[in-house]
Amino acid sequence: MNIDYEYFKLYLKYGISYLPNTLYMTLISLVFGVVLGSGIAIVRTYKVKVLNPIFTLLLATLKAVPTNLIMVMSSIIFTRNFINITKVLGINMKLREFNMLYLASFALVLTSVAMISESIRGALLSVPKVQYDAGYSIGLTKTQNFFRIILPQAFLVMLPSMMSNVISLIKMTSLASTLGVMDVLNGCLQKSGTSYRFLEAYLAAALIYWVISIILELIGKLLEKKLNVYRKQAL
Amino acid sequence: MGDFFKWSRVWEYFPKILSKFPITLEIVLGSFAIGLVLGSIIALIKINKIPVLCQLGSIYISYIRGTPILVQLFIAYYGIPVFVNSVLHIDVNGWDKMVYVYMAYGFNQAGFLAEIIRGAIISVDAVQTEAGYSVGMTGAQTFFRIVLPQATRIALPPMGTTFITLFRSTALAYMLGIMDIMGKAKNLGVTTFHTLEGYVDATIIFVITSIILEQIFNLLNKRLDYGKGRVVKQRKEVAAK
Repeated sequence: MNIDYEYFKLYLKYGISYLPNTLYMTLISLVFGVVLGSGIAIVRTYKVKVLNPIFTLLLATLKAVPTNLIMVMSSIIFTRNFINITKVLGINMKLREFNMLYLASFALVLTSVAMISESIRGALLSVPKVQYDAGYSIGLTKTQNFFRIILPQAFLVMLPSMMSNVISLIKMTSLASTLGVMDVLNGCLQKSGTSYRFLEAYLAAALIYWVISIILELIGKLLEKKLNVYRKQAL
Repeated sequence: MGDFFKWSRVWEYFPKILSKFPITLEIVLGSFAIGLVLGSIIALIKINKIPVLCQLGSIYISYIRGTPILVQLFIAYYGIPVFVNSVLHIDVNGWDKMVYVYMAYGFNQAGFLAEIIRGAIISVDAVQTEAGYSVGMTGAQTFFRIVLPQATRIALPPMGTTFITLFRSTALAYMLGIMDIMGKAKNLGVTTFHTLEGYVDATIIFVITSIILEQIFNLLNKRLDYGKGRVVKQRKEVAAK
């Protein structure tokens, strides 16, 4: 096998130096995903009128469209209307100066909202009805009941699926490289054009993503173990 | 500016892009089949805890789950020729690009399906195997006649989910130059300078197909209930009385 380890190491270094961008995109899509996703999940779990069918339709669409397709379409619309957008916002900025990272994050948020709201909804639905009755019977209000009784229990159920969501998000950020964002994948690839050592570049990128995923998985397992203490006490 | 997006062009492009739908379907079905065969092998290796192979299987699954499909696709594209050339000494120059697409997506599916299959087989109660042995069945008979049918039922819902995910992820195959839905949409954009309409068509196709697939899997889940729903219903009726 003719794999050049020198190039592999070099690309690994380039890739790691762009790790903050990848993590930043993951963080943005995670935070927005959790905030918007929990809102949508609550609406759908408790079947809020009017909003429920709208969000159900929206989620079905978002889940079906590939993330890279959302990315490409939003980038076309955005770059085409960039001048108008800057006029409306009153900023003097050229398209060249705009960091495509935020555009990629926007597309990632759309996918992550669909993903995260589904796992929050699943967790909320997993709390038995009896728990609501128990809360109301001792005179808690709806909000008190939700935050003090339902949410803590749902959180334990949510944790494993949330961890796998984070890993999926990290993997998904690699799609941002198609927009020219300098993330781990593009960092690894940036100098491979001159050497034609594409395989080494992709292997280096794979290694970085793999290591991050393994670390996150370990953290998730550790958290689960720690939090399962509460569950055992309850039993 | 006014010519940027027109619905008339969306309708005009739709049949052209839809004509490439069979290629996307081909990729999905082909790689799912590869994934099913490979995944079953890995699952059986892991269940029987065959030394060395079992650990290799775990590493493989971890690699598939830990790296983006985009990276896996290109590793297959650049890596398989190197591997085949240097280890098996076969000339790969004449190989179609589709071969690498099948392999990349097939290997990807194998990793995910292996875990699903393993989980399903393990979840069948040990009592079921003992029951099979007690009526004088051999190990293979017990597995194929008692464990496997029950495991298939358990594996079906998660398999449906991975199938739909696979369908979505084929939207990356165009990066290797495959003329599927995405490739055609991009190609139309290059020749006519109107890219967005093609992508809108692709979105419509993806959404409709996903919804149809979801309905099919829901129907299958209900159909293959093997009376479980009936039993629950009967119990509820009894409880109501």
